[in-house]
Amino acid sequence: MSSIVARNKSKLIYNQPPILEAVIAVYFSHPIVSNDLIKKEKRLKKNYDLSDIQSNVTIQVKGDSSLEPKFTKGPEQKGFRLLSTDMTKSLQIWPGMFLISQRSPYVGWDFFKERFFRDWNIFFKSNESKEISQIGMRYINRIDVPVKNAAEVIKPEDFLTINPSFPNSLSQIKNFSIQSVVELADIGSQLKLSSQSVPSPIFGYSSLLLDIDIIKNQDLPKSQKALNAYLDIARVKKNAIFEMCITDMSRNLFK
Amino acid sequence: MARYLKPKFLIRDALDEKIIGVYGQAFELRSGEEFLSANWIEYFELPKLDALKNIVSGMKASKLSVSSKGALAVANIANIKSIGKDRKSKIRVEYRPTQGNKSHSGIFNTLNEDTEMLDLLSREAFSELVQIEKLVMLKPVGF
Amino acid sequence: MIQVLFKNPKKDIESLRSPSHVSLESFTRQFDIPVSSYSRVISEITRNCSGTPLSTFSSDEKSIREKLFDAKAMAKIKIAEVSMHLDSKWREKIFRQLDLMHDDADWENDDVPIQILSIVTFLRSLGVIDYKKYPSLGMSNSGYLLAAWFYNENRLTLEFLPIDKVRWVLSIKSEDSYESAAGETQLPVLMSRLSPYDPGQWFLHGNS
Repeated sequence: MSSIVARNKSKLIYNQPPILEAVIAVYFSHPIVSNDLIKKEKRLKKNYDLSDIQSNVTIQVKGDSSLEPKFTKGPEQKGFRLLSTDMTKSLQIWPGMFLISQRSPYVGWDFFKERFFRDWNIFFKSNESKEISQIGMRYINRIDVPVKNAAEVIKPEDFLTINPSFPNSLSQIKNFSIQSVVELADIGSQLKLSSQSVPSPIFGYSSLLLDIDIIKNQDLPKSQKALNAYLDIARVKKNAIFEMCITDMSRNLFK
Repeated sequence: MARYLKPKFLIRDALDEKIIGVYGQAFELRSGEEFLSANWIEYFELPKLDALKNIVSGMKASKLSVSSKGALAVANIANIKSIGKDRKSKIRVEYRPTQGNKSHSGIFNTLNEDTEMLDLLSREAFSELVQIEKLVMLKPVGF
Repeated sequence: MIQVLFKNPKKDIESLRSPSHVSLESFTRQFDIPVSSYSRVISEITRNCSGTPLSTFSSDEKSIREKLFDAKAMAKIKIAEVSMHLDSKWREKIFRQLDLMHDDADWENDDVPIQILSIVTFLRSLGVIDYKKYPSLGMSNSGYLLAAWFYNENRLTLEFLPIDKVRWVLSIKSEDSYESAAGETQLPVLMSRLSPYDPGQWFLHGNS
C-alpha cells in the first residue's frame, strides 16, 4: 500500500503512455432540441476541421423460433461529430449527450481538459440550464508486449494485476476478458474495469487492453466549478486505478 | 513518349516536395485496360516543354483530370522497347489519337505480374519527370 | 433490443471481424447494456442486409470527396492506434502523404482509395522493419500502400498487400549496370528475404 501511495505522489511520466483513447461524456437530464443543436454545432465548428451528421437508430427485433423476426424502427436521433484532420480529436454532440474524445497520441490531461471546457462553454451559454444526469470518464489503454515468436504466449499476470484465475488443468489460455463493476464510494462513482487480451496491431507483439471507465450518476455537479472539480478528482482516481492495475514490467514498456 | 502520373505514383523527397522517382506500379494496367495511355511528344513538332504543355491541354480537352501535384514522365520509345526485349515481352507503341487528345498513344504488352519490368520502366525508361504545376503556369503553344 | 449507431455506411467492415476488437470509433454510453455487448456496437455496417429496413435508411451515393474523406479517415484512425510507436514527425508525414495520394483533382470513378487491410499490414511491419529512415509513400491502382527508399542509386520499393503479404522490388547499382530482384513474401520473413541485399542501407541510412 505504501508503495502505491508513494507512486501516486511522485510524478509518473511515461514517454509512451499506452492510452488508446480518452473520453469524457456528459449526459443531460433534458434533451436539447434539434434547432438549438444545429446552432451549437455552427458555433463549435470553428474549433474543428471537419463536421458530419450522425444518426442514431433504435431497432426493435422481436421474434421467436417459429416466426420471421420483426424489425421495428424506433425514433431516430441526429447528432454531430466534429473532428480534427488527423482524426485524433473529436467532439460528439447529441440531444442528450456531450462527448469529447482524444485518440492516441494522448496530449496530456491539461490540454484534454482545456479542450473539454473550451467546447463546453461554447455548447452551453452561461444562462443555459445544464442539468447533468451522468458523467463518464473512460481511458482505454493498450499494453503492447514484445514476444520472441508467434507461438509465445505472454502471462497476463506479468503485466496486469487484473487477471483470470484458472485451475491448473486449464492453463493454456489463448484469450481472456474480465469485466468488473466496483463501487468508488470516496468519489461517489462506479468503476467499470475491463482487462482483456487483444490481437496486436504490430507484428511480433502481444497486446492487453485495460479499460478504466468511471461513471457518476448521483450527486451530480450543478456548476462548472463543481464539474471541473469532479473531473480532476476522477482523473486522479483513474490514475491511481491505472497504477494499481499494472505491474513494473508494464511500466518498463512505456517509460 | 510522355505519360501522365497521378500524385500517388510519385516518389518524393524527405519534405514531400521534390519528385525524385516513380513507382513501378504507375505502369500497371488497370482492370479492363488494354494498353497504357501515353502521349507522343513529337506529334507537336515543338520544343519538348511546349509539347508537354500541349499534352496537358489535350488531356484536359478530353475531359481527363490532371492534378497540379502530378507529373509527366518522359521516355524514349527505344528504351521502352528494349526493356520489353530484356523481359521477353514485345512491348510496342501505337498512335491512338482521340477527339481532344491528338497526341494520344498506347503502350502495349506490358506485364502487370512482372514487377521487375514495371520497376525498369519507372527507373530506366520514364526517368525524366516534369511536374504539372510547373507546366500549367505557361500557356500552350500552337495548340 | 438491439441498438445500432449509424454513421454513413462504409464498405469496409474489417474492424468488425475480429471478435475481440473494441470498437472505438463511436463511443456511446448505454449504461443498461452490458459492456461485452456495447463494446461491439456496430458503428459501421454494410448495406448487404437484405430484407431489413436499414437499407433504405442511408444513401451510399457519395461524392468523390466524401469517399476520399472516409478512406483517409479510416486509415488515420487505424494509424492513430499505433501512434504510441510512431515518431510524431513520421505520423505527420504519413498523414501528409495520405492526403497527397488522395488528390481529388484527378480522381476518377474507377480509382481505388487506400485499403484498410493494406494499412494494417504496413502497421504490422513496424514490428519487422526498423524504420530509422522514413519512406516516401504512394499507392497502387488497387489501393495498396507503397513505400520507397533510396540509398544513393539503390532503390527498394515495398507494396503492402492484405494479410501480411508484401511485394518487394529492389535495384542495386553495380559498376555500370543495375542488379534487380523482386518477390512476394509474408511479412515475418521479409527481412530474411531481403538480407542478401543489405536492407540496412535503406532502413537505417536510406533517403540520403
